[in-house]
Amino acid sequence: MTEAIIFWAFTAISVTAALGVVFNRSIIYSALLLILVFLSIAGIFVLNNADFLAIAQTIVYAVGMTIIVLFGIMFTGDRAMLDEPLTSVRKLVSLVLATFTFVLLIKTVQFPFSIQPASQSVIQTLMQSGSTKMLGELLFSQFVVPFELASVLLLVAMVGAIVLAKKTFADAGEMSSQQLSYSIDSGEPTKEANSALHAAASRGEVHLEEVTRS
Amino acid sequence: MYLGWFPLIFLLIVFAASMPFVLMALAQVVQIKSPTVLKYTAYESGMTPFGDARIQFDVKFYLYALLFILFDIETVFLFPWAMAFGKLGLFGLVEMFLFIGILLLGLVYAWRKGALRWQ
Amino acid sequence: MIQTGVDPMNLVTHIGLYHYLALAVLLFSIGLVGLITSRNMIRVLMCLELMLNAVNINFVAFNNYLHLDVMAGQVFSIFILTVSAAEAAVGLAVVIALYRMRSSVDIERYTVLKG
Repeated sequence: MTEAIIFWAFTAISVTAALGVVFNRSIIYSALLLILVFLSIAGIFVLNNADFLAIAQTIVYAVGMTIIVLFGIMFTGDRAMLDEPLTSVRKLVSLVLATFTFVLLIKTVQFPFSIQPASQSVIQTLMQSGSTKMLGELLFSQFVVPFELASVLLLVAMVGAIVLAKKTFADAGEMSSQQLSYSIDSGEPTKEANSALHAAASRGEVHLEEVTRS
Repeated sequence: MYLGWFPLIFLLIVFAASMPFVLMALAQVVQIKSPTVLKYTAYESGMTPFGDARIQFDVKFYLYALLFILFDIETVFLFPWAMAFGKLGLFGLVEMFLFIGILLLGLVYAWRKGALRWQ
Repeated sequence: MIQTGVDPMNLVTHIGLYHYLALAVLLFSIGLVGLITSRNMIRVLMCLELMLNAVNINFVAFNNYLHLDVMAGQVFSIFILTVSAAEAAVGLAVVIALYRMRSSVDIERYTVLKG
Protein backbone atom coordinates (compact mmCIF):
# COMPACT_ATOMS: atom_id res chain seq x y z
CA MET A 1 0.00 0.00 0.00
CA THR A 2 2.82 2.36 0.85
CA GLU A 3 4.46 1.46 -2.42
CA ALA A 4 1.25 2.27 -4.27
CA ILE A 5 0.96 5.71 -2.67
CA ILE A 6 4.60 6.57 -3.33
CA PHE A 7 4.42 5.23 -6.87
CA TRP A 8 1.31 7.19 -7.83
CA ALA A 9 2.63 10.36 -6.24
CA PHE A 10 5.92 10.21 -8.14
CA THR A 11 4.12 9.19 -11.32
CA ALA A 12 1.82 12.18 -11.09
CA ILE A 13 4.72 14.54 -10.44
CA SER A 14 6.96 13.18 -13.16
CA VAL A 15 4.30 13.02 -15.87
CA THR A 16 2.98 16.50 -15.11
CA ALA A 17 6.47 17.95 -15.05
CA ALA A 18 7.40 16.12 -18.25
CA LEU A 19 4.37 17.61 -19.98
CA GLY A 20 5.55 20.97 -18.69
CA VAL A 21 9.01 20.38 -20.13
CA VAL A 22 7.52 19.73 -23.54
CA PHE A 23 4.76 22.32 -23.68
CA ASN A 24 5.91 25.24 -21.55
CA ARG A 25 6.59 28.26 -23.72
CA SER A 26 9.56 29.49 -21.73
CA ILE A 27 12.58 27.26 -22.04
CA ILE A 28 13.93 28.31 -18.65
CA TYR A 29 10.81 26.93 -16.97
CA SER A 30 11.19 23.78 -19.04
CA ALA A 31 14.71 23.30 -17.75
CA LEU A 32 13.62 23.83 -14.17
CA LEU A 33 10.73 21.40 -14.56
CA LEU A 34 13.23 18.91 -15.92
CA ILE A 35 14.88 18.90 -12.48
CA LEU A 36 11.54 17.88 -11.01
CA VAL A 37 11.20 15.04 -13.52
CA PHE A 38 14.68 13.78 -12.70
CA LEU A 39 14.08 13.93 -8.95
CA SER A 40 10.80 12.06 -9.16
CA ILE A 41 12.43 9.42 -11.35
CA ALA A 42 15.06 9.09 -8.62
CA GLY A 43 12.14 8.36 -6.28
CA ILE A 44 10.96 5.66 -8.66
CA PHE A 45 14.47 4.19 -8.55
CA VAL A 46 14.33 4.03 -4.77
CA LEU A 47 11.10 2.04 -5.03
CA ASN A 48 12.99 -0.44 -7.20
CA ASN A 49 15.78 -1.10 -4.70
CA ALA A 50 18.23 1.04 -6.65
CA ASP A 51 19.39 3.40 -3.93
CA PHE A 52 22.80 4.15 -5.39
CA LEU A 53 21.30 4.82 -8.77
CA ALA A 54 18.81 7.24 -7.24
CA ILE A 55 21.66 9.27 -5.78
CA ALA A 56 23.61 9.05 -9.03
CA GLN A 57 20.52 10.23 -10.89
CA THR A 58 20.25 13.19 -8.56
CA ILE A 59 23.86 14.31 -8.80
CA VAL A 60 24.34 13.66 -12.51
CA TYR A 61 20.97 14.53 -14.01
CA ALA A 62 19.22 16.79 -11.54
CA VAL A 63 22.35 18.79 -10.78
CA GLY A 64 24.97 18.36 -13.50
CA MET A 65 22.84 17.99 -16.59
CA THR A 66 20.48 20.82 -15.76
CA ILE A 67 23.43 23.07 -15.01
CA ILE A 68 24.89 22.62 -18.47
CA VAL A 69 21.45 22.92 -20.05
CA LEU A 70 20.84 26.14 -18.12
CA PHE A 71 24.19 27.56 -19.16
CA GLY A 72 23.37 26.62 -22.73
CA ILE A 73 20.08 28.51 -22.40
CA MET A 74 21.83 31.48 -20.80
CA PHE A 75 24.25 31.59 -23.71
CA THR A 76 21.64 31.36 -26.42
CA GLY A 77 18.97 33.41 -24.68
CA ASP A 78 15.34 32.41 -24.25
CA ARG A 79 13.66 35.51 -25.62
CA ALA A 80 14.39 34.60 -29.21
CA MET A 81 12.34 31.44 -29.10
CA LEU A 82 8.97 32.76 -28.03
CA ASP A 83 7.96 32.95 -31.65
CA GLU A 84 5.23 31.49 -33.76
CA PRO A 85 4.23 27.91 -32.89
CA LEU A 86 4.36 24.97 -35.21
CA THR A 87 2.01 24.29 -38.03
CA SER A 88 -0.96 22.20 -37.02
CA VAL A 89 -0.02 19.53 -39.56
CA ARG A 90 3.24 18.82 -37.79
CA LYS A 91 1.54 18.85 -34.41
CA LEU A 92 -0.97 16.33 -35.69
CA VAL A 93 1.71 14.12 -37.21
CA SER A 94 3.75 14.12 -34.03
CA LEU A 95 0.70 13.37 -31.91
CA VAL A 96 -0.30 10.47 -34.14
CA LEU A 97 3.23 9.12 -34.14
CA ALA A 98 3.58 9.39 -30.38
CA THR A 99 0.21 7.77 -29.77
CA PHE A 100 1.15 4.97 -32.10
CA THR A 101 4.44 4.43 -30.27
CA PHE A 102 2.65 4.57 -26.93
CA VAL A 103 0.05 1.99 -27.87
CA LEU A 104 2.67 -0.24 -29.45
CA LEU A 105 4.92 -0.16 -26.41
CA ILE A 106 2.05 -0.58 -23.94
CA LYS A 107 0.93 -3.64 -25.88
CA THR A 108 4.49 -4.93 -25.75
CA VAL A 109 4.92 -4.60 -22.02
CA GLN A 110 1.68 -6.46 -21.39
CA PHE A 111 3.53 -9.59 -22.36
CA PRO A 112 3.32 -11.93 -19.34
CA PHE A 113 6.82 -12.13 -17.93
CA SER A 114 7.59 -14.88 -15.50
CA ILE A 115 8.47 -13.06 -12.34
CA GLN A 116 10.46 -14.54 -9.53
CA PRO A 117 10.39 -12.32 -6.49
CA ALA A 118 13.82 -11.41 -5.17
CA SER A 119 15.21 -13.90 -2.71
CA GLN A 120 15.17 -12.90 0.92
CA SER A 121 18.96 -13.09 1.20
CA VAL A 122 19.38 -10.40 -1.46
CA ILE A 123 16.95 -8.13 0.36
CA GLN A 124 18.89 -8.75 3.56
CA THR A 125 22.17 -7.75 1.90
CA LEU A 126 20.53 -4.65 0.52
CA MET A 127 19.19 -3.65 3.90
CA GLN A 128 22.63 -4.00 5.45
CA SER A 129 24.89 -2.33 2.92
CA GLY A 130 22.75 -0.90 0.14
CA SER A 131 23.20 -1.73 -3.49
CA THR A 132 26.44 0.20 -3.91
CA LYS A 133 28.76 -2.64 -2.94
CA MET A 134 27.04 -5.23 -5.09
CA LEU A 135 27.04 -2.80 -7.95
CA GLY A 136 30.76 -2.13 -7.54
CA GLU A 137 31.65 -5.80 -7.47
CA LEU A 138 29.75 -6.39 -10.68
CA LEU A 139 30.90 -3.23 -12.40
CA PHE A 140 34.59 -3.79 -11.78
CA SER A 141 34.74 -7.49 -12.50
CA GLN A 142 32.32 -8.37 -15.25
CA PHE A 143 31.95 -4.95 -16.83
CA VAL A 144 35.59 -3.80 -16.78
CA VAL A 145 35.90 -3.25 -20.50
CA PRO A 146 32.76 -1.11 -20.85
CA PHE A 147 33.91 0.82 -17.81
CA GLU A 148 37.27 1.64 -19.35
CA LEU A 149 35.59 2.42 -22.65
CA ALA A 150 33.32 4.82 -20.79
CA SER A 151 36.40 6.76 -19.75
CA VAL A 152 37.50 6.95 -23.39
CA LEU A 153 34.01 8.15 -24.31
CA LEU A 154 34.14 10.83 -21.65
CA LEU A 155 37.57 11.91 -22.87
CA VAL A 156 36.35 12.19 -26.44
CA ALA A 157 33.26 14.09 -25.31
CA MET A 158 35.38 16.48 -23.29
CA VAL A 159 37.80 17.18 -26.13
CA GLY A 160 35.01 17.47 -28.70
CA ALA A 161 32.90 19.79 -26.61
CA ILE A 162 35.87 22.03 -25.82
CA VAL A 163 36.84 22.25 -29.49
CA LEU A 164 33.27 23.07 -30.49
CA ALA A 165 32.46 25.51 -27.75
CA LYS A 166 35.72 27.35 -27.27
CA LYS A 167 36.63 28.61 -30.72
CA THR A 168 36.43 32.32 -30.07
CA PHE A 169 38.69 33.04 -27.20
CA ALA A 170 41.95 31.18 -27.74
CA ASP A 171 41.96 30.96 -31.52
CA ALA A 172 40.95 34.57 -32.00
CA GLY A 173 44.47 35.39 -33.18
CA GLU A 174 44.49 33.00 -36.10
CA MET A 175 40.92 33.68 -37.01
CA SER A 176 41.30 37.42 -37.09
CA SER A 177 44.22 37.36 -39.53
CA GLN A 178 42.23 35.12 -41.81
CA GLN A 179 39.15 37.28 -41.62
CA LEU A 180 41.24 40.40 -41.98
CA SER A 181 42.43 39.47 -45.46
CA TYR A 182 38.85 38.94 -46.57
CA SER A 183 37.66 42.30 -45.43
CA ILE A 184 40.69 44.09 -46.87
CA ASP A 185 39.98 42.49 -50.23
CA SER A 186 36.43 43.72 -50.13
CA GLY A 187 37.83 47.08 -49.15
CA GLU A 188 35.77 47.65 -46.07
CA PRO A 189 37.00 48.16 -42.50
CA THR A 190 40.49 49.37 -41.66
CA LYS A 191 42.98 47.29 -39.74
CA GLU A 192 42.37 49.15 -36.51
CA ALA A 193 38.64 48.85 -36.81
CA ASN A 194 39.05 45.21 -37.56
CA SER A 195 41.21 44.46 -34.56
CA ALA A 196 38.76 46.26 -32.31
CA LEU A 197 36.02 44.24 -33.91
CA HIS A 198 37.83 40.99 -33.26
CA ALA A 199 38.51 41.93 -29.69
CA ALA A 200 34.78 42.45 -29.32
CA ALA A 201 34.08 39.20 -31.11
CA SER A 202 36.39 37.28 -28.82
CA ARG A 203 34.42 38.62 -25.90
CA GLY A 204 31.33 37.26 -27.57
CA GLU A 205 29.69 40.62 -28.14
CA VAL A 206 29.72 40.63 -31.90
CA HIS A 207 29.36 37.81 -34.35
CA LEU A 208 32.16 37.93 -36.87
CA GLU A 209 30.48 36.28 -39.77
CA GLU A 210 27.59 38.68 -39.76
CA VAL A 211 29.75 41.76 -39.51
CA THR A 212 31.99 40.75 -42.36
CA ARG A 213 29.03 39.74 -44.47
CA SER A 214 27.22 43.02 -44.11
CA MET B 1 10.75 -2.74 -1.61
CA TYR B 2 13.31 -1.42 0.81
CA LEU B 3 13.32 2.28 1.61
CA GLY B 4 16.02 2.71 4.23
CA TRP B 5 16.77 6.33 5.00
CA PHE B 6 15.10 7.63 1.90
CA PRO B 7 11.83 8.76 3.56
CA LEU B 8 13.88 11.09 5.74
CA ILE B 9 15.83 12.37 2.76
CA PHE B 10 12.54 12.95 0.96
CA LEU B 11 11.18 14.87 3.93
CA LEU B 12 14.34 16.97 3.95
CA ILE B 13 13.91 17.78 0.26
CA VAL B 14 10.25 18.69 0.74
CA PHE B 15 11.10 20.82 3.76
CA ALA B 16 13.88 22.63 1.93
CA ALA B 17 11.75 23.18 -1.16
CA SER B 18 8.82 24.55 0.82
CA MET B 19 10.98 26.88 2.90
CA PRO B 20 11.04 29.81 0.45
CA PHE B 21 7.28 29.70 0.04
CA VAL B 22 6.71 29.50 3.78
CA LEU B 23 9.02 32.43 4.43
CA MET B 24 7.44 34.53 1.70
CA ALA B 25 3.97 33.77 2.95
CA LEU B 26 5.09 34.64 6.46
CA ALA B 27 6.53 37.92 5.22
CA GLN B 28 3.22 38.68 3.50
CA VAL B 29 1.41 38.17 6.77
CA VAL B 30 3.59 40.10 9.19
CA GLN B 31 4.97 42.89 7.00
CA ILE B 32 4.03 46.56 7.22
CA LYS B 33 3.43 47.94 3.76
CA SER B 34 4.76 51.40 2.88
CA PRO B 35 5.93 51.07 -0.71
CA THR B 36 8.14 53.56 -2.47
CA VAL B 37 9.61 53.34 -5.95
CA LEU B 38 13.08 52.68 -4.60
CA LYS B 39 11.85 49.78 -2.52
CA TYR B 40 10.42 48.10 -5.59
CA THR B 41 13.65 48.08 -7.57
CA ALA B 42 15.52 44.83 -7.81
CA TYR B 43 18.14 44.31 -5.13
CA GLU B 44 21.62 44.09 -6.59
CA SER B 45 23.88 44.13 -3.54
CA GLY B 46 23.32 47.80 -2.95
CA MET B 47 24.15 49.04 -6.44
CA THR B 48 21.67 50.71 -8.71
CA PRO B 49 20.38 47.97 -10.98
CA PHE B 50 20.74 48.39 -14.71
CA GLY B 51 19.81 46.38 -17.76
CA ASP B 52 17.90 43.15 -17.94
CA ALA B 53 18.40 40.06 -15.80
CA ARG B 54 18.45 37.84 -18.87
CA ILE B 55 21.81 38.81 -20.26
CA GLN B 56 23.84 36.59 -22.52
CA PHE B 57 26.28 34.53 -20.50
CA ASP B 58 29.83 34.04 -21.63
CA VAL B 59 30.64 30.62 -23.02
CA LYS B 60 33.36 30.05 -20.43
CA PHE B 61 30.66 29.33 -17.83
CA TYR B 62 29.52 26.52 -20.08
CA LEU B 63 33.05 25.12 -20.31
CA TYR B 64 33.34 24.95 -16.54
CA ALA B 65 29.94 23.29 -16.28
CA LEU B 66 31.06 20.79 -18.90
CA LEU B 67 34.18 19.84 -16.96
CA PHE B 68 32.05 19.66 -13.83
CA ILE B 69 29.60 17.14 -15.23
CA LEU B 70 32.33 14.91 -16.66
CA PHE B 71 34.10 14.72 -13.32
CA ASP B 72 30.71 14.26 -11.71
CA ILE B 73 30.41 11.05 -13.69
CA GLU B 74 33.84 10.04 -12.47
CA THR B 75 32.59 10.42 -8.89
CA VAL B 76 29.63 8.20 -9.68
CA PHE B 77 32.05 5.49 -10.73
CA LEU B 78 34.32 6.07 -7.74
CA PHE B 79 31.70 5.31 -5.09
CA PRO B 80 30.93 1.69 -6.04
CA TRP B 81 34.64 1.18 -6.59
CA ALA B 82 35.42 2.35 -3.07
CA MET B 83 32.70 0.12 -1.61
CA ALA B 84 33.88 -2.95 -3.48
CA PHE B 85 37.58 -2.25 -3.11
CA GLY B 86 38.12 -4.94 -0.46
CA LYS B 87 37.13 -7.65 -2.91
CA LEU B 88 38.79 -6.20 -5.98
CA GLY B 89 42.34 -5.78 -4.68
CA LEU B 90 45.21 -4.75 -6.92
CA PHE B 91 43.25 -5.29 -10.11
CA GLY B 92 40.64 -2.80 -8.99
CA LEU B 93 43.33 -0.27 -8.15
CA VAL B 94 44.91 -0.60 -11.60
CA GLU B 95 41.65 -0.26 -13.50
CA MET B 96 40.54 2.77 -11.53
CA PHE B 97 43.88 4.48 -12.04
CA LEU B 98 43.63 3.77 -15.74
CA PHE B 99 40.15 5.34 -15.74
CA ILE B 100 41.27 8.42 -13.84
CA GLY B 101 44.37 8.69 -16.00
CA ILE B 102 42.35 8.75 -19.20
CA LEU B 103 40.05 11.40 -17.76
CA LEU B 104 43.04 13.43 -16.59
CA LEU B 105 44.24 13.48 -20.20
CA GLY B 106 41.07 15.40 -20.98
CA LEU B 107 41.75 17.81 -18.15
CA VAL B 108 45.31 18.34 -19.39
CA TYR B 109 43.94 19.01 -22.87
CA ALA B 110 41.48 21.55 -21.51
CA TRP B 111 44.25 23.20 -19.57
CA ARG B 112 46.62 23.36 -22.50
CA LYS B 113 43.93 24.74 -24.79
CA GLY B 114 43.26 27.53 -22.31
CA ALA B 115 39.69 26.45 -21.56
CA LEU B 116 40.35 26.98 -17.88
CA ARG B 117 41.79 30.46 -18.29
CA TRP B 118 39.47 33.10 -16.87
CA GLN B 119 40.34 36.14 -18.85
CA MET C 1 1.64 -7.81 -13.02
CA ILE C 2 -1.53 -7.36 -14.98
CA GLN C 3 -3.84 -10.25 -15.60
CA THR C 4 -7.07 -10.24 -17.46
CA GLY C 5 -10.08 -10.19 -15.20
CA VAL C 6 -8.60 -8.58 -12.12
CA ASP C 7 -10.64 -5.85 -10.56
CA PRO C 8 -9.39 -2.34 -11.34
CA MET C 9 -8.91 -1.40 -7.69
CA ASN C 10 -6.28 -4.11 -7.44
CA LEU C 11 -4.47 -2.47 -10.32
CA VAL C 12 -4.27 0.74 -8.36
CA THR C 13 -3.20 -0.62 -5.02
CA HIS C 14 -0.83 -3.38 -6.10
CA ILE C 15 2.16 -2.02 -7.91
CA GLY C 16 3.99 -4.45 -10.13
CA LEU C 17 6.46 -4.50 -12.96
CA TYR C 18 3.75 -3.48 -15.40
CA HIS C 19 3.19 -0.16 -13.67
CA TYR C 20 6.82 0.84 -13.93
CA LEU C 21 6.98 -0.18 -17.56
CA ALA C 22 3.81 1.79 -18.30
CA LEU C 23 5.27 4.85 -16.61
CA ALA C 24 8.42 4.46 -18.68
CA VAL C 25 6.38 4.19 -21.86
CA LEU C 26 4.39 7.28 -20.95
CA LEU C 27 7.50 9.35 -20.29
CA PHE C 28 9.11 8.03 -23.44
CA SER C 29 6.10 9.05 -25.53
CA ILE C 30 6.01 12.52 -23.96
CA GLY C 31 9.68 12.88 -24.77
CA LEU C 32 9.00 11.76 -28.32
CA VAL C 33 6.29 14.39 -28.77
CA GLY C 34 8.68 17.02 -27.51
CA LEU C 35 11.44 15.77 -29.75
CA ILE C 36 9.29 16.19 -32.83
CA THR C 37 7.39 19.35 -32.00
CA SER C 38 9.93 21.55 -30.29
CA ARG C 39 11.79 24.09 -32.36
CA ASN C 40 14.37 25.10 -29.82
CA MET C 41 17.41 22.86 -30.11
CA ILE C 42 18.02 22.91 -26.38
CA ARG C 43 14.50 21.68 -25.75
CA VAL C 44 15.16 18.87 -28.20
CA LEU C 45 18.16 17.87 -26.10
CA MET C 46 16.06 18.04 -22.95
CA CYS C 47 13.44 15.75 -24.46
CA LEU C 48 16.21 13.35 -25.42
CA GLU C 49 17.30 13.23 -21.79
CA LEU C 50 13.71 12.54 -20.83
CA MET C 51 13.57 9.57 -23.18
CA LEU C 52 16.86 8.20 -21.88
CA ASN C 53 15.49 8.46 -18.37
CA ALA C 54 12.43 6.49 -19.37
CA VAL C 55 14.75 3.77 -20.63
CA ASN C 56 16.56 3.87 -17.31
CA ILE C 57 13.30 3.25 -15.47
CA ASN C 58 12.82 0.20 -17.66
CA PHE C 59 16.23 -1.20 -16.84
CA VAL C 60 15.88 -0.64 -13.13
CA ALA C 61 12.37 -2.08 -12.95
CA PHE C 62 13.35 -5.19 -14.89
CA ASN C 63 16.39 -5.58 -12.70
CA ASN C 64 14.28 -5.36 -9.58
CA TYR C 65 11.56 -7.73 -10.68
CA LEU C 66 13.56 -10.31 -12.60
CA HIS C 67 17.10 -10.54 -11.25
CA LEU C 68 17.81 -8.54 -8.15
CA ASP C 69 20.74 -10.79 -7.25
CA VAL C 70 22.63 -9.83 -10.43
CA MET C 71 22.52 -6.09 -10.75
CA ALA C 72 23.29 -5.96 -14.46
CA GLY C 73 20.30 -3.71 -15.12
CA GLN C 74 21.55 -1.07 -12.74
CA VAL C 75 25.04 -1.27 -14.24
CA PHE C 76 23.45 -0.64 -17.61
CA SER C 77 21.66 2.36 -16.18
CA ILE C 78 24.95 3.78 -14.98
CA PHE C 79 26.38 3.41 -18.47
CA ILE C 80 23.33 5.12 -19.94
CA LEU C 81 23.92 7.90 -17.44
CA THR C 82 27.49 8.24 -18.68
CA VAL C 83 26.56 8.19 -22.34
CA SER C 84 23.78 10.71 -21.92
CA ALA C 85 26.05 13.08 -20.01
CA ALA C 86 28.59 12.89 -22.82
CA GLU C 87 25.81 13.34 -25.36
CA ALA C 88 24.40 16.38 -23.60
CA ALA C 89 27.84 17.96 -23.31
CA VAL C 90 28.66 17.52 -26.98
CA GLY C 91 25.12 18.34 -28.08
CA LEU C 92 25.08 21.62 -26.24
CA ALA C 93 28.52 22.46 -27.57
CA VAL C 94 27.14 21.90 -31.08
CA VAL C 95 24.18 24.16 -30.25
CA ILE C 96 26.57 26.84 -29.00
CA ALA C 97 28.72 26.57 -32.12
CA LEU C 98 25.63 26.82 -34.34
CA TYR C 99 24.32 29.76 -32.36
CA ARG C 100 27.60 31.57 -32.93
CA MET C 101 27.26 31.01 -36.64
CA ARG C 102 23.64 32.03 -37.15
CA SER C 103 22.50 33.64 -33.85
CA SER C 104 19.56 31.31 -33.65
CA VAL C 105 18.65 28.05 -31.97
CA ASP C 106 15.51 27.60 -34.04
CA ILE C 107 15.76 24.21 -35.67
CA GLU C 108 13.59 25.33 -38.59
CA ARG C 109 16.25 27.76 -39.73
CA TYR C 110 18.92 25.16 -40.30
CA THR C 111 17.76 23.80 -43.61
CA VAL C 112 21.02 23.74 -45.54
CA LEU C 113 20.86 19.99 -46.02
CA LYS C 114 17.27 20.08 -47.23
CA GLY C 115 18.34 20.18 -50.88
